[in-house]
Amino acid sequence: MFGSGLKVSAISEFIVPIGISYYTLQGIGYLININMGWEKAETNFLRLLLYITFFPKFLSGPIERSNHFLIQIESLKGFSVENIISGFRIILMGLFKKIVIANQLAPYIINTYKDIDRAPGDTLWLLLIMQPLYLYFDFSGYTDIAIGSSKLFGINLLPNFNRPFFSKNMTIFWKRFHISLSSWFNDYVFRQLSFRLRKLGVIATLTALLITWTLFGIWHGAGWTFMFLGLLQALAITYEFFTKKWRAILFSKVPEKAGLWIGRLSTYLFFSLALTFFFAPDMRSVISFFKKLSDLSFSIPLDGISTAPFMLIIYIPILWIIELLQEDYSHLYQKFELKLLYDPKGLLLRWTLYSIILTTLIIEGFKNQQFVYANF
Amino acid sequence: MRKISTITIQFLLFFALFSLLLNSLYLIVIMRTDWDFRKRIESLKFTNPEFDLLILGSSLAQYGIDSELMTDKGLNSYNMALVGNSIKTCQIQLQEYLERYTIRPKYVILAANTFLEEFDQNGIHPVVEFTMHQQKIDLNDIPISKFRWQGTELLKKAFSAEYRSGYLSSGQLRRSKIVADETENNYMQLDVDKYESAEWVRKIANICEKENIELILIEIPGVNETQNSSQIGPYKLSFQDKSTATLYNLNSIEFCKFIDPEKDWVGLSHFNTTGAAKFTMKMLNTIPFNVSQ
Repeated sequence: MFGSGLKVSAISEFIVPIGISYYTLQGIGYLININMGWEKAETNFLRLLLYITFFPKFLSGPIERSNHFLIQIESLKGFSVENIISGFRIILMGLFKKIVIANQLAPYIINTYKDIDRAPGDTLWLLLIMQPLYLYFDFSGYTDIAIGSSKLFGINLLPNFNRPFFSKNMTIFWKRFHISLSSWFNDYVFRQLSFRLRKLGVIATLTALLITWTLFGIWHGAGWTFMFLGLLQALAITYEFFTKKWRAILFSKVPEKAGLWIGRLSTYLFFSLALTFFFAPDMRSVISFFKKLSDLSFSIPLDGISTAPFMLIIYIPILWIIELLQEDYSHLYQKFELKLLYDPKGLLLRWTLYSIILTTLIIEGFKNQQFVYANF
Repeated sequence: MRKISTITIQFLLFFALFSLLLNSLYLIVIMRTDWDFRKRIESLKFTNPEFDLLILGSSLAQYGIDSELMTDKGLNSYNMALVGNSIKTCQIQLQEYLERYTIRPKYVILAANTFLEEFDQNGIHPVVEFTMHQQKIDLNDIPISKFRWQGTELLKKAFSAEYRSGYLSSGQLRRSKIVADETENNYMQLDVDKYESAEWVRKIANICEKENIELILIEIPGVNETQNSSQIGPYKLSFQDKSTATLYNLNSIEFCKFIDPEKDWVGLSHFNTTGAAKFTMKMLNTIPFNVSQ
């Protein structure tokens, strides 16, 4: 280009894909809303442009709804101390999830998938258990940074995660994981399709489910692995739909808590298995991965000399306990949260906690590790 | 905005004080508990050391060469190797030792493994860098960040009684845990050129030549997949600046026959106490040291 040696094709490779999947869905959602009469068309072009290109959510979401975003723009006030403090608090948590946890897991996940044939079966089992955590901490970390940054300006973005690993089945899981994407597909694809095919009865629901989840998979990338990822979700949700009564009878015979935890564990395990389709570069690698799971030598892949990120043994359980408190002991958590965040006497404890998080960020460093969902 | 500025300044002051306290405490704990730190401090506080032999290298040498056994066999030895050491750091350690103490060792062993280690890394071991004479300390030297690895070691000790039971003996780190080697030989060739072209190996050879010390380079054994099918040697190496050294390929499959893959390793090509003693004896029988007994 202009004798600079820069190729236009190279620029297009760099510029075009950034955030394309996200702003496309937001644009489509806005047009459907207008077309269906669910929302009035925005007459101020700059406001609409801001909705599409608002920087915190531009790269990897959350996929914001126009009727949630534009209404906030209209009533936007100046900076407020509360918003800034709250925004920074959410950003800090996001940085912790991304830098302190996800970045430490990333090299193991990425390098193993690069050469599955060389990885021992024991390592793949460990990977299978860790990969949902990696994706969750990476993506929810990014989302927290986006939501927190937006909060600084007084704009509340839609939540994207709601303690997904405490879901007792896959139907609930997808209402709590990547919420903005799954709810978008639910509202604009599944509901529209089931309505149009409603004369077919149950067949309509099944067809709509299959098409929605296949599209959901393909949204992540054009490849068999992503399509299978979507199909697997469709199968799981269909299974849960048809066996709802039968499962209710079965689980009525076991203690409530035990049933709940069986559900949570099996949901986590199913998602772990499905994620192999997400991370593997092709179907051959997926097959190789599952074949090698049986190749067990029962040796612990982490010995004393290992350079593995042992600090995760502390960080991950802490966050898990916090989420467990929020989920199962909310009254206790709310009491603690009130004391910690809003009681003037809790200031010292609060600042100590912020300082500890900042210190862990310094320790783990700002390594150059891409966000997983920035690839879509 | 004023309120935000005030809160920010107050928090930054709090964070500075918090960091100062935390880093001071961390440094004290690390200096007292970390094997590398303790060894480094020990090696800086010798009173008239009369070592015949100094061992330089990374954790492979730190675990693998039994300096106490060598002393028993008449070669008064000290193992100066450190975890994750670069050859540049080995050169700094040797230079510093020779400047600090008057009695010269007869031999210096530089243990390395061409398969597992880079020879031209320019990084300096953080513990050595932190304790180096006239070393300037800047913001990058925040203990909790600089000694991150030492913190991980501390955590391993907290969680594992076996790891805690490891101890230093004349600089060698002794651990009794057994991790079997399940890898297979790849029948590679030893890359002798890697030694001859390595800048920091040349500098060590140059120092030894000037100080009339015999430099012995050893390709230290690793697990089966790292071993080579080249001859044990010795190989006479000559560097660009005409300095020389002798290389023994102790990672040759032929030499490594003494290793019991089921019992002699503690993991990742590091010998446990038994493996280190066996290797040291075999090395003493292979390299013709002039033992003053």
